[in-house]
Amino acid sequence: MYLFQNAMRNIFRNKGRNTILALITFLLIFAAAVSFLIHTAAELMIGNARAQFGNQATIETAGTKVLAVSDYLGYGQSDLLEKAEFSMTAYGRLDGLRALDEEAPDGNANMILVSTSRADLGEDFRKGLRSVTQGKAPEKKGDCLVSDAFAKRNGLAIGSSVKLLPADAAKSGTAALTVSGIYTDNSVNGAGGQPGMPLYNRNNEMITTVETAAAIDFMVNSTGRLFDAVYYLKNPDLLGAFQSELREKGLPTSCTVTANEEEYIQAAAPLEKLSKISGVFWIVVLLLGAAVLVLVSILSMRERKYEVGVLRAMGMKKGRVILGMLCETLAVTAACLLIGLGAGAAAAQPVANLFMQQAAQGEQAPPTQQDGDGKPAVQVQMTASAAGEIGLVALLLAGISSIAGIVYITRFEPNRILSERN
Amino acid sequence: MHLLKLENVSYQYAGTARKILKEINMGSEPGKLYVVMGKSGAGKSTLLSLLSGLDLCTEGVMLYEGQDMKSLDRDEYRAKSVGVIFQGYNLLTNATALENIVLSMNISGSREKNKRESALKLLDRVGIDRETAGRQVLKLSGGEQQRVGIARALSHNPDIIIADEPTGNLDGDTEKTIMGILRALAHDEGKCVIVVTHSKAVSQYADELWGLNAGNLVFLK
Ligand SMILES: Nc1ncnc2c1ncn2[C@@H]1O[C@H](COP(=O)(O)OP(=O)(O)OP(=O)(O)O)[C@@H](O)[C@H]1O
Ligand SMILES: [Mg+2]
Repeated sequence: MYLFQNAMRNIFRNKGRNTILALITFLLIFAAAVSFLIHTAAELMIGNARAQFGNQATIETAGTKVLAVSDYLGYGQSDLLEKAEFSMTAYGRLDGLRALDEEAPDGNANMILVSTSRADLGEDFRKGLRSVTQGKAPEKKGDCLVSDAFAKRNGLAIGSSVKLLPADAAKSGTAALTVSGIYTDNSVNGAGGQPGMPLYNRNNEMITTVETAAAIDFMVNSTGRLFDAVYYLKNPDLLGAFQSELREKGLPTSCTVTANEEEYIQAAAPLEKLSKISGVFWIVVLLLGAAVLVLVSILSMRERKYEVGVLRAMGMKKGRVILGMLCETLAVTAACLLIGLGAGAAAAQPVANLFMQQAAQGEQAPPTQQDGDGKPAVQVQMTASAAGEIGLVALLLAGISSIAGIVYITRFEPNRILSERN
Repeated sequence: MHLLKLENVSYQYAGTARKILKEINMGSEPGKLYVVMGKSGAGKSTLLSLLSGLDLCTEGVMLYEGQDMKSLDRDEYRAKSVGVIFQGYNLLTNATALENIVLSMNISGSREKNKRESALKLLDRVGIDRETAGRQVLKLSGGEQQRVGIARALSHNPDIIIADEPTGNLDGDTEKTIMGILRALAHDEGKCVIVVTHSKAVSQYADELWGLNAGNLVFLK
């Protein structure tokens, strides 16, 4: 107990030396905190970018329609995938009903079958350009959504049946869908209005699940059919494994599985630079800090040699001398830690922003610090674990360096220290 | 039985050829004041560093209460059994006089309840008032520092008190006071007091007077 009290008093007895030590320690912790926080934040953002873009895979085909829709769907059944998203658009003819903007039945395609595997029914619905105003989104096989304008024109209600024919009148086939809900289109294009051009009217779109659409052969095989498949890998590193798996399932060698890399690189490049620089800086600060602290410790120990001699002559055991002086250093470090972490947390965000701004200028790209929500591109945050990690490293460094100094000094016999001085 | 006993003790500083102490024999008992006289460079301080447990003899045996110093815990010996008044004071210069005394009590593991109060009393006894006691040692005169050193040597109530020129920086009157205290410690409190000096005046207080000359210790009276 007295050891601790004496250590605390010593801090103030030796103001000059401890002020210098505190200043150095503060600067080191400050620099360490800034670089560590930025590094952590950048790494997190890279992880996010990878999660967002890096795990999206698509199949690039050499020619058109090399792969059948059923192939795409089958490839989605893989343990390597988190999920797969499909969408298909194809044209057909209404059997007995009238499309909007249709002047007289002419035997041409007059409806658009849109299908998606997305639970949110795709971007238009997600963004609110369209919304389901009656009934519900298609769930069961055969369910479909029709627009309110189309329903009105044909007197359709929930549960009504709609019959479809192939777009090409020469082909045979028929399909029946059931209206499960009605959507309203709020987009500027929603009104349509080019008489004689029903395919240009968004309200002629009928929306189904991919499962439903893929079961209609004449739709799947129609000319102008569009099909899109995006596979979400469980992690970006599985890309190669996924391609091998598809090869086994029969994917022709003319087709390759590619990651959505471009977007990832675009998002992650400045972050990777930031992460690398801050990571290197953090290591340099630590190494430099360790060296400086050992030096300061040994210098201050030369100054304290006499004190050690006196304490030892008074009968204080070596271990207690070391403990007392260690307490001093650690107390000073702890105080600097509090201030340094606070200052570091406050400074890290502006420093990160400045860096991102310069990185963006360096690449001659428009500044990208702000994303759509007005948040900075790198959000630096002081977390308990970050503070703990920096604190631990700081205390460890201070402890080791001061022990190095004290052990250096306690090697000398007290008699020698004292006779040297006298 | 002797409290301290030196048997054919010689000492040589490491890396030197000359023996500073040569086959010294001496015994000391509680209740007596011993004075070792010698010229400058005779080896007085060297003898003292052996007696105070700061160093070990290079030849011969030194015993404390019959135990060889080599096998003794000398930290413990310095902390509890012996109080040393150094020629160069050896105080913690950044701390106050009072803090020096209290720290010494703490190191010895003293159970004293109010260490501050008894330290102040002790300082008062050697002529350091409360105001001076609260000042940094650095800001005390040589004589004042010497008195603080004396108070520290007494602070943990040791069996043996060893003093290296304890009155070297004190005027005649203070010298009398200090030597009076040391004699009283021997005669009234049964301490074993050993003083090394080159001062004739101090030698008058001796119960036993020894002479140290070129490393040889001889009994004078
Ligand atoms: N650390 C050392 N290494 C080598 N020689 C030393 C050392 N310390 C002292 N000596 C030598 O030992 C001899 C005795 O020194 P010591 O300090 O014991 O003398 P002293 O009797 O106390 O003198 P003084 O009255 O001046 O204090 C001296 O010749 C001194 O030079
Ligand atoms: Mg001397």
